Amino acid sequence: MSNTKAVKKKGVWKHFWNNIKYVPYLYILPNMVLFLVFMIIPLIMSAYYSLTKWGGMGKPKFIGIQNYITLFQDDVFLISLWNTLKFTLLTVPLLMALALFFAIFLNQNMKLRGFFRSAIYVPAVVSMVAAGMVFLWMFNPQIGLINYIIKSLGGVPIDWLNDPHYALTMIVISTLWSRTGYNMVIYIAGLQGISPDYYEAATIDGANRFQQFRYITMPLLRSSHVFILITCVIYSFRSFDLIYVMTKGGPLNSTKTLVVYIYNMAFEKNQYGLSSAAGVVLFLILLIFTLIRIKAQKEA
Amino acid sequence: MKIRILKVVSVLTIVALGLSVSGCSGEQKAAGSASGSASAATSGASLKAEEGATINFTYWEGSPSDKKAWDLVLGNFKKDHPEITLKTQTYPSTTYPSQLDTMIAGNNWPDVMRYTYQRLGKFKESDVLLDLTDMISKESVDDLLPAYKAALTSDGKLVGMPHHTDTIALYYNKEMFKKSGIRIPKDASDGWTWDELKQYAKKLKEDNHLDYAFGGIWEKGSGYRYLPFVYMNGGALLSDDGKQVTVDSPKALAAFKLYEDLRKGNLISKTAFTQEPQNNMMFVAKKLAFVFAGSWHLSYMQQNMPDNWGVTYMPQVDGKTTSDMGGNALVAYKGTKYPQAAAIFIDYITNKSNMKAFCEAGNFLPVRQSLIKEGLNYSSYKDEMKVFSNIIATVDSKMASDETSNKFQQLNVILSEKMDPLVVNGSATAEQTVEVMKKEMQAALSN
Amino acid sequence: MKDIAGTKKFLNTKKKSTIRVLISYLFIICITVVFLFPFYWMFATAVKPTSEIFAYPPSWVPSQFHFENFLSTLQETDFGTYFKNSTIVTFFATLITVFINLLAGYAFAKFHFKGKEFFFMIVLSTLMIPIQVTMIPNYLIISRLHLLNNYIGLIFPPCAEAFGLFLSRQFMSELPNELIEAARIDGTTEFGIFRKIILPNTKSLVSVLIIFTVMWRWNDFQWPLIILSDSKMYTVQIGLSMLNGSQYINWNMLMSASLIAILPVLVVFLIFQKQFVQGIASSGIKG
Repeated sequence: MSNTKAVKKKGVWKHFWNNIKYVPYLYILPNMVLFLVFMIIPLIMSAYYSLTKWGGMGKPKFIGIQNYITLFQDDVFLISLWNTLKFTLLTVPLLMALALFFAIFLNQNMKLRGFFRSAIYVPAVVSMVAAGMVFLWMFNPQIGLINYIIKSLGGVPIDWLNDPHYALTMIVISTLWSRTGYNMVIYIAGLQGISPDYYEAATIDGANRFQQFRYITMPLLRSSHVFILITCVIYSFRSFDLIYVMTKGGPLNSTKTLVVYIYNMAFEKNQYGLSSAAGVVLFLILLIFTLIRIKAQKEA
Repeated sequence: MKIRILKVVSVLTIVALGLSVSGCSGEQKAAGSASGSASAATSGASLKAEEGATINFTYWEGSPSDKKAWDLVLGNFKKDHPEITLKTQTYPSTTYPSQLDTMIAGNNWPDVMRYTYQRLGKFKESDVLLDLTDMISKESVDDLLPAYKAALTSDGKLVGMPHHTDTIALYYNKEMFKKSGIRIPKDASDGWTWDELKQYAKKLKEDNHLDYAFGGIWEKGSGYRYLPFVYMNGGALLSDDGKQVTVDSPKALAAFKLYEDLRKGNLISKTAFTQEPQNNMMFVAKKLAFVFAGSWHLSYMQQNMPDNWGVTYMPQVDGKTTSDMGGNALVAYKGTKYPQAAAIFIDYITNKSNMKAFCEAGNFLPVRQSLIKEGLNYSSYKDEMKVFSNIIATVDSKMASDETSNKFQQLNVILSEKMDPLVVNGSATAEQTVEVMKKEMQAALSN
Repeated sequence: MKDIAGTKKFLNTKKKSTIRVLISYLFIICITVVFLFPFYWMFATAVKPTSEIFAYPPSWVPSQFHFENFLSTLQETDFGTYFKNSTIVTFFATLITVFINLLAGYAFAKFHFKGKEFFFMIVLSTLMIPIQVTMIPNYLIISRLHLLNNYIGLIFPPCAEAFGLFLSRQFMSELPNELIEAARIDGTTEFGIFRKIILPNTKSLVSVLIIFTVMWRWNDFQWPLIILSDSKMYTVQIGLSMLNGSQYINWNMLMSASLIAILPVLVVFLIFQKQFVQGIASSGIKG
């Protein structure tokens, strides 16, 4: 009697485990549970807080969409939006161009090619906190190496830390150091996927290197371009550690991106409601961006 | 498909809302029972810890000497009070406030916390601190310096114990001062006038080919450390009743005009008040001739610029001088499960012998009148600590009460942020700066 | 005629070639120096005598090498404990991440099921949720589950990241369907298919996942900062941040600690780097 029960139990489990209808659900279950608990629910909670006024202690007070109105009237918030855009527009093209350049350069047969590639990639290994501290040190306007080199070359030293015009540049340079290698590797993969036959045929046809680059390499790398573009944009919108360690969003809010604003609003000003509202805005911006991309891909 | 999504989202929303709302209801643990039994005890000495009491104490170690001091007194406590289980939680000093805030937002209060005087306001306002009146030994409470006792009093109740204080002095580069023949003040009343400050800064800058002559540790959002200049001139941040912002009064404005003049002459460093600290580093790198820094930086200076620095008194205006009211207090959470044990802990750590031991080990200054009179026996930097001790006696009581008022932390944030345009590139004049400050501070007060 | 022209071209290119090659090498060596320099600077600052750190002009090469700074950093801080914690967290996090993403990637790539698009939208949307937004709510959730200061609380929540799933799905979609279909016809169980057909072909994907996860979790600073208050549970990155004092920095200690903190990830990278580039190439992330 117990035998049949055991067989039945095993049968039920097997039924699920091996039924092609249920298997995908089972397989994606762990991921979905994690996303649900640690991403979706917190997002909804955040959306709730964005409708409240809350200082961290006591109960949140419901105030409707007041926070959103306050946000868009806050100069600093608008500056943060603009800075995020500026930062993205500066880093993404530069990252892609540098990564592509090095990928192509290091795609030729040269000795120690692997070493050079690794050298460019290895900065990705360093945590942003540590990287931020070293660069903070090197960019120190008075005793840092960078200004020392500039001075030695006869230039005028730049006040990287205190000049609002240059602080963002300093962050951009540090980001380039950190992230170029990572993108380069993806381009290398993409390049390796292009058959050399194309180039041979082109050479026979008399195309020079620039033409080959323009008409063969670039188009065939299209999917790499797209992937790197998306990753870089999302990364630059979320980039926090480096900026926080180096400038905290200063001087004069010149390096305050949206995520720095969100953090600052929550932990330095203890205004969790406003902070959550800004977070929701950031989420919506990225959502729109992704939807546009999906639409573009569908049409492609 | 659409309806399904709608269903799922609404379920999720309800769950999430449930979590958020329930997570915020404060613990309604009645501390009422505790105060009931406490009133029977006339002095903290006859308090008895609850059965199986466990105290969670959060603090930070701001320097190696700070760590030494804490290890010492916490060790003492464990020895003398085995009936109380002590669990300590140390955070990195730079992230302590935000980590504590996160804990609190998650309704995870420690039992006892160490916190800066200036930041206690929001706790006092929200009435989340344990009432320690009659739970601390009378002798300890009476021995406190009045300004510090006032800082820990809210609505007539004692809501914590001041633990120690420290303050800011003028650290100078010996070689540079000697070279330029700058006079070193001999006591607190002998400090430089503001004109001397400007004059000497100029001379030091020129003689030593510096980019700037000096800076101060009012960076990293510690703008309130510049306020002594306001108060020594007779100005104040708040009116006597604490309801009006008076940062634009002529006397207060003068302090900001001083800063403006110094910046125009490139005499003072341009590091923003909200930036990562640079000034101490520039001082030991010999790029600044002097710096206004704290008593807890003594070993840093010695380590990085050995024997080439000295400490002297703050500037003064018509004989009146003052300096930063630094240091930290110990407070307990109102909803703690072990109020007696918490009170015993706080009482113990702040009693005379432990306060003395702590301050001597960490190079801090005591907040007890008796200890100040007797003088402490520091193991290192004896002469320098003497200077700091003399300076602490000049801490302005109006400044102390303003800085420990309920809304002060918000006012400080506004102060630090609004100073930046003046400090970094002069994009705001002193008049414009105080005007903006007044507007926002007044709004914060009425919020 | 073509031959003569060809030889001429060949000869010309040979001449240009040597100079060009030399310049190429010179150029890439300069670039390499620029990219590797910050590492050297960290090392130099770590071993310099304290008084030399602030010297100006800066000393390119330390006058003395105080290697004992590394030792004293380890002794004066609890780095042993931090290392242990980071290792445990990183190890298990990587295990979990690889496992669940292999499964889920396979499911998304090779199956058609109701709601597939909906679930994928969820995955996509998580890429857009910044951690600053989920910080406090996540803290609240973990706190209610009583998982603060707990390895489980440290390991699981950040596993909710979409990147691994994307990689995995991309990779899996390139695997040929015929093998899977054939196995089904043969009567192999679903999990059997996964085990015997899919898994053996995922070596490069796994290396990529391992390297990314190790790098990211070892360097993770934000999440441990939020949920850890017990210093015995601190990870290496938190330990690093404790070396920043109030208004002063001990550069010797900070730089030596940073280098020590980098070491494990560097080693993992150097070991797996070949597979890594290979993995990215064959994972088809080119698109």
